[in-house]
Amino acid sequence: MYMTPSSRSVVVLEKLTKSFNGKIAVYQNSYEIEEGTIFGLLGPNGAGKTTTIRLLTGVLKPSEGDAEIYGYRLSRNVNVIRSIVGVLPENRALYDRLTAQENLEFYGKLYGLKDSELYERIRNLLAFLDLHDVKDTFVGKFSMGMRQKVALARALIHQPKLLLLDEPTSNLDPVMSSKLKDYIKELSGKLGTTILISSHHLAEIENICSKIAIINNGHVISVGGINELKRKIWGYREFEIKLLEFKPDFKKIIESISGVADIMYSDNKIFYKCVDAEKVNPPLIKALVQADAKILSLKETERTLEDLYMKLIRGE
Amino acid sequence: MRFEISIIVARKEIKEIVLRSKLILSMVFILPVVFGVIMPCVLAWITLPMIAAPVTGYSIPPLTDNWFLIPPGGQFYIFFINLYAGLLNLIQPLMIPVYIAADSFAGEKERRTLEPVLATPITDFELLFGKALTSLIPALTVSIFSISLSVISVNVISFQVFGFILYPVAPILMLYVLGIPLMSLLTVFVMVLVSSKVNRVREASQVGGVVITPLIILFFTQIFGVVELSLLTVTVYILVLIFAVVGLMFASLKVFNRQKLIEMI
Repeated sequence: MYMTPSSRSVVVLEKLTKSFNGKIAVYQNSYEIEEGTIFGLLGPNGAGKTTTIRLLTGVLKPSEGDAEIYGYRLSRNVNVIRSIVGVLPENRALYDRLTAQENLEFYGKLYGLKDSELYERIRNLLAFLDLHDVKDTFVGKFSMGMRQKVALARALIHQPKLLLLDEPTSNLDPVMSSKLKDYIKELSGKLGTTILISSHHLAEIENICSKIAIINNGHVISVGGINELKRKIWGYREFEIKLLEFKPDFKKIIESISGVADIMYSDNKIFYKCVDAEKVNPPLIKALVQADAKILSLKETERTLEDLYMKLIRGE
Repeated sequence: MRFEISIIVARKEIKEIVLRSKLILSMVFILPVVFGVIMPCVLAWITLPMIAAPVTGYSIPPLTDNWFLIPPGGQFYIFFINLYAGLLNLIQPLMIPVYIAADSFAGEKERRTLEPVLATPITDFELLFGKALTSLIPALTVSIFSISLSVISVNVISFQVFGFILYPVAPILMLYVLGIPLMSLLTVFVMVLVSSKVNRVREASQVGGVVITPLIILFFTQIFGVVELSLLTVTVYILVLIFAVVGLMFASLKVFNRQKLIEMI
């Protein structure tokens, strides 16, 4: 049974700031992440994504501000936070001279898991990630993709409530990447794990994240649901009407409808923008039908997350 | 402080660094044989003629209760064997931790494996203590093994001449019991400080060679008769070591914290 994300905010960032040598590396505006959400952190290289993850794992101490994770304050209960957060760092950071099984055993024990529980989890994770046959092979002999899987298993070994994934699907083949995305959705949906993903793969983020934060030069420039952000950024929606045959009379009809803007014509297609589509589209269609237009389709031109990202980061 | 967490770290590191590194593993097996058997035996054999024709010009401290009964050549032999066999056995607790600690501290920086460990609920002190144990356990094990071998081999050779156990004398025994753990700890803390400045295992182990200095000082002060090898001088030496270890421990704790470590990665 799938859980719908609750409205309970389990990660609350309160102007979390990190400076190095007086220079601000990260300034997170105050925002919240709801339980069970898959939250995307987007930004170019050096934007501050890794620093943000390090702050949330308690590896780095904030210079200013604070965060609350599942009711625990970063400033006061950092060790409790470390026990409920799992992290997949960008460089994977595995011990090459240990086997996959030994890597997982070490971390499981550091998280205080009892032997019986630990070995069962290791077995399940290795089976899920198709690593069971190579569990006794040194990690140093693994391909990048296999290393990625071991690092992911390590992040999940203590069943964290908050999972922080830095580029989780890089180095994975398409099949494994898709399997992982399904698993991430399952973790969030079935177990209610809150997941924060930092990624450059915009399509991937769009596919699985319900909310995102776009970060640039250490500052969060926008936070919210993807559609909500698109509306906020562009302020209008774009539509395309395809006709069987275009007649010059239609121009006058379309231009007479209030709320329609930036109209363009191409062959049998009409392109326009409007803010409130629910109020604009019905009278427009009605007027065209009355003018004997044969409408083949009406569709909204989708803005992708990439469009949104480019707009916010580069102003394109 | 959870001791079991430090043990988990030490067990992992001994497996990873000691048992799976050819250099360190060979060192652990070869050093006791070389420093505990071969070199003491060679020394004991080739210096036996000293009993008949002692080297003069050295101040030889009374090292045993019945010193006055031993002829001067015998005195010099006892002094010589204790000093050199002692030096050989004291090098190991300094040398072994240099290589292990370099791999443990600088190696973790070089391989960038520290971040997920720092993201677990381990405290900085538990991690430092675990890493210190990683160096201490092999160093002490090898030292005990090597000392036992050297005591047996030297005394087997010399007993037929002297009729009593002449090595180790009390000051050397005191150095073994108290000095070895202290010198190993000193090496670990020096390596923490060295590793905070360098990023490569090789650089760290090269710079870490500086830890042998206190032993060299002790050795040359004996050779040149500056200080007598007695319980008093060893006590002073041990006290100096204790102060150095405590001071270096505080300095290491200052350097070895999450903030600084992660910023180095």
